[in-house]
Amino acid sequence: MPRIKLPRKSTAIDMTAMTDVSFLLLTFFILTAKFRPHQPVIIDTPTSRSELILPDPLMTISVDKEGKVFYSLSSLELKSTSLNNMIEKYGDKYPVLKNLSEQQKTEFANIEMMGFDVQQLPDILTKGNDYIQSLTGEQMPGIPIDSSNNQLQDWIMAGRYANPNMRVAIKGDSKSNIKTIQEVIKTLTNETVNVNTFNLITSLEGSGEAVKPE
Amino acid sequence: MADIQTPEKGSHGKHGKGKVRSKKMSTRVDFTPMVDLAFLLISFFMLTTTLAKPKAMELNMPKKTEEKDKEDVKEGWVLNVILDKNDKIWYYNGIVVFDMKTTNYSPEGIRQVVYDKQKEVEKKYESSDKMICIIKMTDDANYKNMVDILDEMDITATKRYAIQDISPLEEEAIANGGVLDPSRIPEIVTEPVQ
Repeated sequence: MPRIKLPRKSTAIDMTAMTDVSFLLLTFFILTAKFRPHQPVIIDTPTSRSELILPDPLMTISVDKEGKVFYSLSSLELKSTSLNNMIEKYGDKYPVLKNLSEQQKTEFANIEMMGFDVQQLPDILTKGNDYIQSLTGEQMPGIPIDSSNNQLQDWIMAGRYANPNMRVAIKGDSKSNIKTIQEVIKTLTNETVNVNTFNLITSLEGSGEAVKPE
Repeated sequence: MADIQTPEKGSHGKHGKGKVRSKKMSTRVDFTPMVDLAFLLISFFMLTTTLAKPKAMELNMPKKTEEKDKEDVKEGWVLNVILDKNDKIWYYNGIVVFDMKTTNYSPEGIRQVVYDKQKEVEKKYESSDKMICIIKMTDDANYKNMVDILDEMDITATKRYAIQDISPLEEEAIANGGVLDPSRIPEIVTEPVQ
């Protein structure tokens, strides 16, 4: 009985098509990638079906789930201008602020989310960039917003002086108590600040189809 | 795949002193490492990208100093919504707290309440645009509740809504399970709803 000779087939596969596809995907992901900026405080925003894109320049007032308030600005120049405005405002009350060096003022731009009393600022800035980068939400007490010492109001004013066209957004955690949010809204809408239109940062909801009544 | 095919020896080119022929090299390149690398990078970028970018919703609060937008409100236009803890919603019609009902954030809940009110207002006052929804919150409500109710306003196309502070009477009614003793209700002169 003669043996049936199986034809030997090459194990090599043509990879060209696969390479094409994989590079196509790669290009897509590289182009769409937007790296998440370092966020010292984790804020889980609620969802909504609103599709407004965040305006720019933007001032963000974040409220974490413990009700601590943080302040952040979208650009470096705004940060340094608003810091100078704050020093002008609080320099007489806390003279240490006036002794901040230029180097320390540039360190301020590295603070992604400002969350402490303004008089703590010199201490934190002297500790250097590594310390600032390692700051987490637990280490920051939040900006005081009580009516006797409403520093948030002054930060907002400092930011508005830096750029009057800046929009304000509130970024609250889903679980944060409404009381703090209302305090923030009250600060925004009071007669001094007078910001009556602002944004609430939300993430997009999956399906928000309106059910029309018959 | 990982082979470079060399031209077979002895077939041609070896005999004779003819022209020196350049070796015919295969044009096939081994793609395997390239694909490896490409997939590595794909997985990296896939895992690091955030496709869900944050969106924003806009909220307009009335200017404290402006008086011009003030308008007389008929009791029949008003729907009061009070957000309470544990995702509970209290609601009542008109301006006098009397008997509050509860609902939730589901489409059959507050959304239906708003639609019903819109229909009622449309029947009585011709246009459902007259309806005003007043949103109040107890101190135990959370921020998600507020965003959800604002979202509902958008879904139901309620044009007029406002966020207000809760009144002591309403707090009392909530503590009392939504009902308020009639003697506690102040006498408010209201025009009769037709």
